[in-house]
Amino acid sequence: MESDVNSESERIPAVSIKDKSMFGSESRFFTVAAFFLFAGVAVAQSQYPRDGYPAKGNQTRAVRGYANDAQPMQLVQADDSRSPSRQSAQTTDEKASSTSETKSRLTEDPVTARQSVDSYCSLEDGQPGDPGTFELQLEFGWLTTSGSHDPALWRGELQYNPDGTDFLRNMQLTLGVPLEMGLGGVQGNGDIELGWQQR
Amino acid sequence: MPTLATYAEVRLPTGYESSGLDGTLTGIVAKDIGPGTMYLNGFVTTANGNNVEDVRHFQWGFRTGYKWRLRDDFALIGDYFHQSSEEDSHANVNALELSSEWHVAEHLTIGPGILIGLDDNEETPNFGAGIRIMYSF
Repeated sequence: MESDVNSESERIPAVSIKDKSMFGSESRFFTVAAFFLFAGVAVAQSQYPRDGYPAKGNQTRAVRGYANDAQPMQLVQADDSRSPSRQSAQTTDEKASSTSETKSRLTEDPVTARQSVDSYCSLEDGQPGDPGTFELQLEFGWLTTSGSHDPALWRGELQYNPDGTDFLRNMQLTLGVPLEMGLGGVQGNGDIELGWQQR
Repeated sequence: MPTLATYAEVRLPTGYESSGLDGTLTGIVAKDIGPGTMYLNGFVTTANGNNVEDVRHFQWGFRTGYKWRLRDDFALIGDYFHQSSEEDSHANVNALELSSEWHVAEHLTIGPGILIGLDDNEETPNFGAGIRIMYSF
């Protein structure tokens, strides 16, 4: 009997420690909340007409957006800046004013095409991607430091560029997972990083 | 008129034996100068939890760099950063980064780079190398 009582009393502190740690229900709540945040924004923005930017391929954004647009026609026509004729004029003007640099990257606005940084460095460029698109970014790196382990680093990041109003088109949401490879147990490996960039 | 942007990031402790929340706020300024763009970043971080021993709870730093567009689909990027260490007892970190950006296709960009430490402090890497691959869809 004594051994049963002792083993029971030893188990109680272990359970309470687990409940206090952030590795339990709180972290799962954050993960689920983050998922629904991204999914909610993505679904909400899919209802907006995609205007103002050239589309992928030969089809313009305006044509593609209105062909799939679920909004009532009256609402669309009420806003002159979103009318198909205005859209065509804007798209033509943008194409005419774009530099040769942007011709190879028709899906981004000229400022983003010039100023975006997509290389292995720590600079933040402040530029969102093409509105209404996702970007998958993978990073592999290695560092050597005197007197400590040389880590092999991996980072996966999913970026979402909302579409719709000017505010949303200048926004970028990120979901990143950095990992340190090569060691069995690195504290913090698998943490999730949520980011919000606003231009 | 330069480009002004902010970037807010939160680390959630979902990983292995992780704890606490970290938050970072970065201010970004970008301005086209000559054949490229000049960048300036400044950031502050509040670090919590015990993932790093003797963690510095308030961290800060800045980065400045230049992107030199050599061709429509190719650019060189150089930047310098200075930031506080992650641990309280360590000195600040100074390093130089050199990288390139190649738009292989309309939706695919590849960017290899290297890092060179500019001091011998405990947390400053002597050298580093890596690659970033970006695909949009």
